[in-house]
Amino acid sequence: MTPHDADTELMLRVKRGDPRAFTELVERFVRPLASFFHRLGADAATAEDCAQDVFLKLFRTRTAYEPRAKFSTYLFSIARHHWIDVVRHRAAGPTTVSSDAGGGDEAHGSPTDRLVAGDPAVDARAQADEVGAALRRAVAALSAEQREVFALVQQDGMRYQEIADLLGIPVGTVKSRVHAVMNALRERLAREGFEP
Amino acid sequence: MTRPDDPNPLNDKILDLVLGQIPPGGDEAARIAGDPRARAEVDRWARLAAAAKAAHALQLDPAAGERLAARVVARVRDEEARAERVGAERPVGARRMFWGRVLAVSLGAHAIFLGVFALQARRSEVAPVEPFLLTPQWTAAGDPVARAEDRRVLPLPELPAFDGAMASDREFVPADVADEAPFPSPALEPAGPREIGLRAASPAFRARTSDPIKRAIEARLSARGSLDTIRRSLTALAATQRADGSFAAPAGTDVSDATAWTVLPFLGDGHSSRFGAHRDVVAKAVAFLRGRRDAATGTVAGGDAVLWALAEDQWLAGGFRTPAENRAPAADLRGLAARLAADGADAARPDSLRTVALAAAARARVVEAPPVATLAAATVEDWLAADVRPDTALTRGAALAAGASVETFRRFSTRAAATLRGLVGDDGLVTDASLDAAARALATARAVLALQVPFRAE
Repeated sequence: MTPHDADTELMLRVKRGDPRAFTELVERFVRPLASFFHRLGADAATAEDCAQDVFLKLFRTRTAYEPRAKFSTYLFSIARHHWIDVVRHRAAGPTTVSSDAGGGDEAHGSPTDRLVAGDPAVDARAQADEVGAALRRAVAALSAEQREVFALVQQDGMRYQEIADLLGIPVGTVKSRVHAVMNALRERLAREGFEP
Repeated sequence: MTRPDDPNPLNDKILDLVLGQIPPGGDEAARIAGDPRARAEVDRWARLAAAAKAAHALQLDPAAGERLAARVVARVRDEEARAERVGAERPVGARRMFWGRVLAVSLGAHAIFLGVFALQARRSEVAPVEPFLLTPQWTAAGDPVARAEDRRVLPLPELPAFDGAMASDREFVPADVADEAPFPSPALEPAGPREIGLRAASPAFRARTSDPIKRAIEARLSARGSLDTIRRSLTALAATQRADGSFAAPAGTDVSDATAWTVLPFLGDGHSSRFGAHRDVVAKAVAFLRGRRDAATGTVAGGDAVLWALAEDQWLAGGFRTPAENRAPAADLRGLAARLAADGADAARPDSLRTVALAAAARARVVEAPPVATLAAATVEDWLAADVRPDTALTRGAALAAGASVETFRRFSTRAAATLRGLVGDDGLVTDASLDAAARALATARAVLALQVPFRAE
């Protein structure tokens, strides 16, 4: 077996009952995890909730942890399954509209929506915001499989092989999906008049 | 930009290099670096990859990880302690005995059920039960099978023609019961029958309690530092609360009003009597406010600020209480709103405290929502040009949030935020040295409330 990476060592410390190691793990992965859920289609608040749920599952099952793969692969595997549950739950219930996506409470005219969906022309970051918004629209238009691959490949240090292991598909498929996604994003941005 | 179907043979390798799948020091990377056209393509893909990463990056405050870890550990430890207690209370032998009994009872119940079922089946072979017989079998004078002429099928009763009018459930609820009906859970009113818990909360509720959303608003208003100032002030104000839940009132101010003003910034930051880091502060203050009564009417003592504070807590915490627990706070709110409505104060003015308080009471489903006044252009211009003071910034900001354009609200808030932040010192309290401790705390609460207008999601 290859020597453990730093995250795996931390998780082994968590398994041995070291709460400081868990805090360190959470601090290291809370942002990547929240961003992962955000890329998959969760709004900001749901993404944070989902990240918390994943850490809950991780901590509950800490004593059963065995370092068979890279820790990040293990963690994102939990995250992926959690997202499948969330989507299934959503499909079973009525659709809710997220507050920070700029919709939902328009009738009440809450400043949250009106500010978040406000005209960014006066903002210094207007251009970046517009490219960001166009990209978010483009990602939202991808298929669920493509979005999943995109969300994983955006994680620093996540190799095609790990993504393939995590999704249970061949490396070649991962690679072709990633290339298709990136080309689709680039094409869509170009159609909307942005030059990345 | 190069088209996606560009026939460049290095295109796939370039993308892999940008996505970190090819080591930057390897042969492939060197090959790409040697081709000027490929280098330009690397730059384009790198810009797209960076923008894609930034587009979904969430801003969490620096302490978010530590807080989340503490929450997770505390929750799991609780679960484990509970499981351990249950395990200790029931030793293994007792547990086995318990499950053995469950199994025995279950088998017995199944045996009885099957026996009864078999008996019924045998009896039905002798005398099959046929519905809608004119002559019931028990009147057939001992003959289990009725005579052929009696075996006529009963006609269906005649029903009046449907006239299209449907009775509503409401018509069946007596008026006095309807008035006393369980108070709704406005903040957590489910979006549908399957949605429960925080995910079903209204967007306004989520905005009030979500740090990422508040940070997004802060950035959009170019008001960086406002949330940190607010949190610093909350810590300082919490330290001034007295044991009975009240806050000291400066000379000339009623203690209920002072307490309401001081607890409002906590509610504005998403803390309530049921949740939030400052839950105890809010719970004690709300209990104090509800405990003081107006001598003449018996309703909760105090004015608009008290109505506002109690309505805010009901809106935030109502969904975390049972209907029975909600009944008394709701009745208190109705009584107070009715008493205040009777004094005829200026509820019609868009920038009055009464309007803000009534809007809060409407969100808590206690009164009808007041109409949103249309703001005259001249009034808005006056407000934008006037000096920023905490009292006017609060009510005018609320009026602009409800009735002005986003751009107008942003202009007002950006300017107001800078001025209001300047009033608060490093210790979290306003820096006016001429004020005594009670007046300083009250002035701080008003400044923080004004600073919170964009984050309140009202």
